[in-house]
Amino acid sequence: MFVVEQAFIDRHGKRVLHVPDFVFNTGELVAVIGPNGAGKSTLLQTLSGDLVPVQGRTALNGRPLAEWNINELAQRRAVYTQSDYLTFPFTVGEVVMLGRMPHQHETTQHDVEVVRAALRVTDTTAFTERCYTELSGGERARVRLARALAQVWPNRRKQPHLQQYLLLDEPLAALDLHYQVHMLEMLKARVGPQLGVLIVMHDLGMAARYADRVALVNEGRLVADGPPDIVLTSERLSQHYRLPMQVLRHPELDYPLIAAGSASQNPPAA
Amino acid sequence: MSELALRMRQWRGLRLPRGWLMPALAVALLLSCLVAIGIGPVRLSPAEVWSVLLSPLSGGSVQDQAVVWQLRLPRLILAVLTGSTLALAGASLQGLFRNPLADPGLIGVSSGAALAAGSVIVLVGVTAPVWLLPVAAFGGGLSAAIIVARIAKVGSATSVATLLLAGVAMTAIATAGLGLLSFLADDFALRSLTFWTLGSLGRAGWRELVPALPMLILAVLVMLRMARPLNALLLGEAEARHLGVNVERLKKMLLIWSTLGVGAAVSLTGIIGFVGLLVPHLIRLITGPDHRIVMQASACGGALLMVWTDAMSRTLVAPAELPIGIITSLIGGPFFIWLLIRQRQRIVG
Repeated sequence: MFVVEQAFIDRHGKRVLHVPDFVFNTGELVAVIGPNGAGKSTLLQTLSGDLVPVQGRTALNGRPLAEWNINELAQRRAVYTQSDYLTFPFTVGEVVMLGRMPHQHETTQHDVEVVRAALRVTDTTAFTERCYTELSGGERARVRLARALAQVWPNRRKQPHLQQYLLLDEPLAALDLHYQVHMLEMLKARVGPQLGVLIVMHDLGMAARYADRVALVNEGRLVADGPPDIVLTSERLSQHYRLPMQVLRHPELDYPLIAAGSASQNPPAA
Repeated sequence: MSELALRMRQWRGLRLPRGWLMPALAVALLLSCLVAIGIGPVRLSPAEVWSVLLSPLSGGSVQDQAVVWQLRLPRLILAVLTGSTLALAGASLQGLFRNPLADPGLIGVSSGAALAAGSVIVLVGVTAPVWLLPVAAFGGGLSAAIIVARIAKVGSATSVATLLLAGVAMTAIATAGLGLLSFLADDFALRSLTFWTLGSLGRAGWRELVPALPMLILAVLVMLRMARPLNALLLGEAEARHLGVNVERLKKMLLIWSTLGVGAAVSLTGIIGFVGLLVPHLIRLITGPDHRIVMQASACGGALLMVWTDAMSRTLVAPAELPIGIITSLIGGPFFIWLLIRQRQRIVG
């Protein structure tokens, strides 16, 4: 279980995030939403250990993140980032195999099976032998997701009780609608007693539909955290997104639909 | 990625192509060593070399004994270690900077080391203790590497264009410094200085080689061990950290040990250009970018290249000797141009 308590995060000497109290556990899919520059990625980087709070506490399983052995941490949580630096011509299979690094000294049969499975659930098996750098942006995003999945793929035989976490920073940004739904449903299905998933996302409708919990971040502060039905109200969203927003229900499938009005209807206050 | 390289890689799946390449390179290196020792004014067949090496006291004539043990073996060992070190340092820096064009020569390490060594030759002269030269070369190389890396660092990322430009500037400064030194030098120092800028394995006897051996061997071994985390580093620094790699330590180790190795090599041989660029590139074309195989194969390939270019340097204009740096640059320069043209086509087309 990740616990953040009264954490203040600074970047280049400037306060960028204040998290009064935040918990992230296995068995849940948490969506982190908020306007651009609100601090969503900062929250994710606080959980991944990339950013260390100047004040307050961030801990995994009761131990402060900074005290974790970096490889043991890597066995427990995988991070999907939006950055894509790879320019060397690795094949897709090799890229996903890199996700197994925290678990292996030499590649085992188990690693190969995990990579195959991760490729399968992200629908990237067809690219296995292709060069990663030649794929499209959306295809690359799915391969990076497969790498993160491979990193925290359960090993029922060797570590049957290990709790693992996925921290995903806008994994859906480059995906078409088909894959957005497909990937979210795949992730949702994997959530369980041994896996928690935290996703930074912009699509409020998707967050409302798939998240067990929604954390709303705005202006460097965690302002709301709770079940989608409670956090995602027309009033709250209108206030924080500075747009008239309406929460409707899908006529047949009965999930929330969130519609933004026109910016000219209600000009921003600031 | 060229069609050829893709096709060459298609036969493998998730497994590593260790298969034939490493044994082939190792056998080629061993045979090359036996043949290359026999090349020179005193010609020896591989079988004769073998018998002299196997029985240091009784095999072959007294003359053969002296030629093999006193002249050619230390030189061969230096060729093997220098080639391995330069190629590995090239592969390491290319991985560290996530750029296939990085090379100890291009980022100023070699010229910084040569400038420092040159200063010792000219300003301290013959009174310098034996250890001063490699130590100075190492210090010069490390300083140059740190300055170039600092200049190119923007926030937490390294700007590749700035890095190469800073390296060019560093090389220009070092070249000017060497020019100034040659202006100040007397005839004897001038000849030694020329040796530095062109590179040669000819200075190596056991006495010079032994102090540098531990550095070179350690540098090779340490860099070989960095292969796995280097693969992760290619994904980005934060990404490597997420995979459990201690990135800051890795970067420090790569910089220190590649510089230490190159500094030690340069202190014995002078500037030998393009080996660090040429070898890892050729290897990657065959194996793909996985450092676990690229590093091993580069170590062998670099040694192989150096053994043969040294044989060429000894025989092409015999009885004189052609500096080895001239040969490697004559091969490496055109290869580099070919690389640029190939990459330009990839960007345009």
